[in-house]
Amino acid sequence: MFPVLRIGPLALQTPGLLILLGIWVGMILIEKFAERFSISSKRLESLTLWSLLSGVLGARLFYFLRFPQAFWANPLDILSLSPFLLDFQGGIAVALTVALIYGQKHKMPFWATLDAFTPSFAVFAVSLGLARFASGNGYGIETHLPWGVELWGAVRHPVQVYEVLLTLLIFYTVLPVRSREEISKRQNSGVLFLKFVALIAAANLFLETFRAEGVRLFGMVRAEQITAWLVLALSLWLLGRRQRVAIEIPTELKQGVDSGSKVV
Amino acid sequence: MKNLSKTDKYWNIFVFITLVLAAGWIVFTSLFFLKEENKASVAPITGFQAPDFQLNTEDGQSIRLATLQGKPVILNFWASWCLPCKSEMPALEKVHQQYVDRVVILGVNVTINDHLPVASRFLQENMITFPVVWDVEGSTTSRYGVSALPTTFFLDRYGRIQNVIIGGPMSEALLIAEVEKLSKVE
Repeated sequence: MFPVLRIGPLALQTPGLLILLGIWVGMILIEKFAERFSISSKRLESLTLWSLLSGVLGARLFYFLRFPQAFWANPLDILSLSPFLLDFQGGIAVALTVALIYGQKHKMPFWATLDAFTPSFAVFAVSLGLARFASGNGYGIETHLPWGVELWGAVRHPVQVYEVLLTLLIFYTVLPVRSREEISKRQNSGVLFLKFVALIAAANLFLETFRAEGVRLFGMVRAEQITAWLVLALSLWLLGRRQRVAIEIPTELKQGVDSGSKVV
Repeated sequence: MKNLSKTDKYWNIFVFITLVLAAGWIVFTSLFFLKEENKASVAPITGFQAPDFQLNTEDGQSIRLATLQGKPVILNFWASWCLPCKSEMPALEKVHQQYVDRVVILGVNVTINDHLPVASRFLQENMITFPVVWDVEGSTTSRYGVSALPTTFFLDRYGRIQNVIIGGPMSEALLIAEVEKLSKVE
């Protein structure tokens, strides 16, 4: 656990740095892989920046709406650079809405766009695990297993380490190794993204078993595991549907496709 | 009913088995793995009971954290050489004046790494009226795992840590919002 990174007189918050690092690597991956999904990397980067910016502004707006009385004395605090004056659920809702509007406006193909983002989502999941590891949050239940770690006054499952290992494995699984032509011929759009969602849901279903924190339904079942099961079921159902639809090949690639392929 | 291809049938079987196994895992682990975390456990992190301590103010008055239960507590670790610590002091003082009935603000000066007369003069010059205790030996700072200043712990009325903010300066708005959150904890 290392919540603070000291560089001379500066004390930087490691979890925040790791999340920023995840976003930065994610942006690099967008640039690297977008073309393989027949989407302009510039367009994807622009969508990402709009979403991030609107997400931060939305998070601040929702925080203000939640605690308006906090800003009465000092209304200028609404412009504060503090990362603690943010409502994350509100920010995510605004970012997703802006992303949808942007995608619609620029006629971006829904499933192919999500596929192009998938490696970035996966690397972000790894950075979240590392951030939990750094902060000591998301700690595990007590254990007598030999690999248990001493944390918060008990020997616990190193659940943050499990999380990092699993998300790294998922990242490796969803990394597109095929060329643009291969992806277009062999895989329906949306399959990669849905595979990622299913794997993350399965990983969370497993990880939540060992996490000490969490909400319990009826005093026994973890709400997070139930949510993960529902997401897993939905993603597998959608995956089945996406695998069945005819492969959509970008117009410019149609020339190279065999006559026997399922061209829409 | 629509005829399914062989691949579709295999896929449906795979999905069915996966979901049944996943549901089985949830039930099995709920019965045999899930243990309630001991809420009385003491640790300097959100969700745990805040470590108790007893320290003196400058005028020799002894303050024990456990005796403050019944009201939310904002525990602020600071030092006079730390610029963000000094910057957030006026906001802490304002919130103390405004919410004195609803929250206790307790400053913990990390005296082991500070110069007591300088810190004391800073408090006087800035007319800080909330209680400040002196951690001369550094034992409380160490028990709270404070690795950067300022670090602020937000405790509910039962002495459980609800939030930890490392770094600063905290704005008045943030402090008021945290007081609102702490007041709602049952």
